Amino acid sequence: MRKKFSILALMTAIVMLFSACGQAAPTPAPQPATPSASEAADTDDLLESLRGTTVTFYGWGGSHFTNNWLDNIVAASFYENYGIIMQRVPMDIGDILNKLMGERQAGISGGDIDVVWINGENFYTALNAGLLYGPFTDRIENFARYLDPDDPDNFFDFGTYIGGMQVPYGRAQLVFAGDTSVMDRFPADARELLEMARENPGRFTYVAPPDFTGSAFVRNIIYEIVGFDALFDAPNDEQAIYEVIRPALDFLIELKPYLWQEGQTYPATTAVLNDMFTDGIINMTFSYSPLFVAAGILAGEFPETTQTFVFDNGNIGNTHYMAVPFNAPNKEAAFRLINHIITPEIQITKYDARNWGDFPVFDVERLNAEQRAMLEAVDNGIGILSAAELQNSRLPEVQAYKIPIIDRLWIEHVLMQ
Amino acid sequence: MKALFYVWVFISCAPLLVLAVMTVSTFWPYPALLPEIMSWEYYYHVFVQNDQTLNAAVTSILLAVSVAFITLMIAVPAAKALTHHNFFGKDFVKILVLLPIIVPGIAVTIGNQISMIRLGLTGTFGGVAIIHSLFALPFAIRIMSNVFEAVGNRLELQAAVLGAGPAFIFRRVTLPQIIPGLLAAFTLSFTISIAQYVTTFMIGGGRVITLTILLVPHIQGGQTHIAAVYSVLLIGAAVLSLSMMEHIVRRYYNFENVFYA
Amino acid sequence: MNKRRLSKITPYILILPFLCMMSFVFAGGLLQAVVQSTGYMPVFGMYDVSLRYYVQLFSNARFMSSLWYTFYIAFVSAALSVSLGVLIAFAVDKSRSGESLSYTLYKVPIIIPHIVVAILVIQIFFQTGIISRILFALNIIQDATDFPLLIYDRGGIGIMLAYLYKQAPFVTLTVFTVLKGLNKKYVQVAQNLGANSFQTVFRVTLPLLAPTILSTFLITFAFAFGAFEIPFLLRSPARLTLPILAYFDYRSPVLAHMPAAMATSVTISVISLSFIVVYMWLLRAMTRRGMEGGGFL
Repeated sequence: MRKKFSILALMTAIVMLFSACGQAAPTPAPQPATPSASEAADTDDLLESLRGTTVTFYGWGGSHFTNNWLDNIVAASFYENYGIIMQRVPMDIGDILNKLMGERQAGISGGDIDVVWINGENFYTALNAGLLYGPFTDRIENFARYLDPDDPDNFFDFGTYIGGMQVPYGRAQLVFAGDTSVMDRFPADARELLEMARENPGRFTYVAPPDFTGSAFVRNIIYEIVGFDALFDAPNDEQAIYEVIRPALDFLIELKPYLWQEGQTYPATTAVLNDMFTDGIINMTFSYSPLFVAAGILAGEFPETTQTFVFDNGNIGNTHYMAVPFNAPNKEAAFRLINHIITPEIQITKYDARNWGDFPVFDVERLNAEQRAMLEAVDNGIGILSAAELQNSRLPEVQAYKIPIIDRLWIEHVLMQ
Repeated sequence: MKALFYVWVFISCAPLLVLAVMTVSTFWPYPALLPEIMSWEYYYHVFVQNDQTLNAAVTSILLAVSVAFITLMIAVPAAKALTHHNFFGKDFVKILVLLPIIVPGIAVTIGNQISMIRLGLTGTFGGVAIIHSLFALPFAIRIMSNVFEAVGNRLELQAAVLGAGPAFIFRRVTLPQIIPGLLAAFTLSFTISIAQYVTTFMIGGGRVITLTILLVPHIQGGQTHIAAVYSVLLIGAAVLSLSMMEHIVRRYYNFENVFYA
Repeated sequence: MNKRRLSKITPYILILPFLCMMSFVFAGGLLQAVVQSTGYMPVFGMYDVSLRYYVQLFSNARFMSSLWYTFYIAFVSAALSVSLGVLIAFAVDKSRSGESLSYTLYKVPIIIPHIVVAILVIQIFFQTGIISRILFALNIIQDATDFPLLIYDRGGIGIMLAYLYKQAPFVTLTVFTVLKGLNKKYVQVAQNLGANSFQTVFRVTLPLLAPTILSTFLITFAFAFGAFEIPFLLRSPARLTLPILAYFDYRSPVLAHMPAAMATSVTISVISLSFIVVYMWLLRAMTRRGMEGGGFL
């Protein structure tokens, strides 16, 4: 896998070089001021001057677990340590990017957002549109201290070279779940999924892309049918990508008549899929949050016999990140906040399914004994896969710019047929 | 006919009952008719774990009231002009009035944001109030035009003939006649304001946090029960402030015998 | 003399605050949308100005089927809302005898935000919703999947139910205002001349209400044609209304999709506008023939 990533890195670099020359590429945005060396020192004076200021954190706020963790663990401990007030604003990344684009076009330098929760295609867009500040990872001490310098996820996001423009926040992976009291075994691969759907017509479905998770499910099926390499190596061209993934789309068309509502319609969001699973309309659900079954059982939404599973060949995983907008009003405080969020102690509280159940970004090897003990003490309950099982089945993402193309091809060839 | 009316009253109100049940149902598997486990858990998340909630409720109400006043101050003269005056470009203005309803929100969001940035109004309460008014205006102008149409301008003309000044005419002749219509337009503008989401975010930039800003992410995230708690709060705040408003107005003007509202 | 001059500029003074609002805030937004729909976004390195995004839209099968679907949703929901709303307006008119509570309650849907209406419609009409549970309890269905799919369905039934709930009272409110104003003058005359209540309604009241009903229909149609929240939350991914289609382009991380989003939005606006212009033109023709009323719009 490591080797794959160095190839990936090289490919991306080449692609970026070419796209920079191509006419379709956006003009390089006026480079926002990069932090100078003199600023780099974290003096006591600086910290003192930040005391009492406010730093804002903008990102998806659709889960009260996540919100509560940010408000009552992160913000509280951050205020205790630094005396800086962290304000969380719940907002979808699409709205955030559009807000920043408006501010770019109006040419204003003082914005509202200090830290933004982002990844994948959105990072790719934000980077190309000049909406981000940086590179700044050299200002985040814990980045070098606790993160693995050999882990490609710390330097590539959906095949986009990060270049110090964002810092890992947590790790996600697509996982499936089924109720063991309803299903006697789980599909080990896409073929078995088709078999099971054929035996139980109407009891399976998936979320329609361009939903984030539904889109990952479709890519996972593509990996199953044509393999990651084929898709990764495909040129950045709609027709070429179509040729490559066509067997997978044919597979999904073959699956279609056995799905819920005979595939005439699909759930539009993971939330709907999960509700349908809870109410027993369908046998299988999925999520990008690998511990979602534990959280669902804890909340009493899922039966206790619910179990997480992945395909034998593995499931897609990706990392989510934090970035700083070009016009962040309190950048210094933003760096402190990002640094604080990746401290192992905070990351471990995030790992607890009672708080959130999001995988930490640190390298376990770099933890001290106390931190390791703390990590091991987290008991995430039942129905889930171990961190090792997930790590071993983790598959990489393809290039960010291919994702909207794949989504569109699915809509055209599977949904609209 | 009477039966139909009561059926409709039931249809209007029954969903609110469903909403109330949603806020307390922690476990409600199919096909149970009522939740099997009920608790105040979601209220705990909304009121205890999130300390922004009460401030947001206050902001929502203050904002909606300001929007309603701004809207009326613009809509009343505009409606007056459109019903009782003839002027060049009247038809054009009538179409202009409808534009905020007709043009899809997303088309104007970024452009409006840029305009507001240039006016220095982003991130402020006033800026958000102005942008909300923009979307309340078509409805308010429509209602007030209907009202002016129904009232006519004979009394005003008579008063003018008798030598009354415009300020006097407005206060003593026009206002008492249009009060119920004003209340209706106020209610509608208020309601439009409290429901605004994207505009609040784009112009408020996250500095103006309303209940809707807290509510919508939970709908996107599928946490409809928490969204239901926010909805109850939102509807409660609206009903409370609107009935207070109506009560106050009724103390000064008796409009039992006037038709609309 | 002076006074006459003043009365000439009075309407312009009265309309001025509204015009300021439109030109300082809204015009900028609209202009931006039109400019971006031609593909011109200089800050992001897009300089080509052309109509190709419009051409692409109208040659795209998905856009065309969305166009018809949006038209169908907006038309059916506006027609149903107006019929029901007018019916309730008559009912309210008949039953308004001191019962102030239910008189207030019928307006409840007006203050419930669209997004909340959407989640309630799901809770009530989905396959595992309240109605399905009641039918199950009555042994009419044996399984949740026996219940027809009314939400997230290709027919858009859930979307139309939500609009009906939200818009019917709005129609009632508007129509009732005018209805009350009419009663005094013409209905009594008709009754004195011996018309029965059926005749009064169909020969006198409804024709007098016609312009109001038509204009209310147009407003609800235009609203449903360009609205976003309800179709977004209740949609089937296989059938998208135009505003949702525009929204996906707008929210797409691909910058080059923005002009398509704007072109779709401009198209939506132009369609709604042309309906309204045609209506105004018709209304003027009718008024010239001596028909009264209409009021605003």
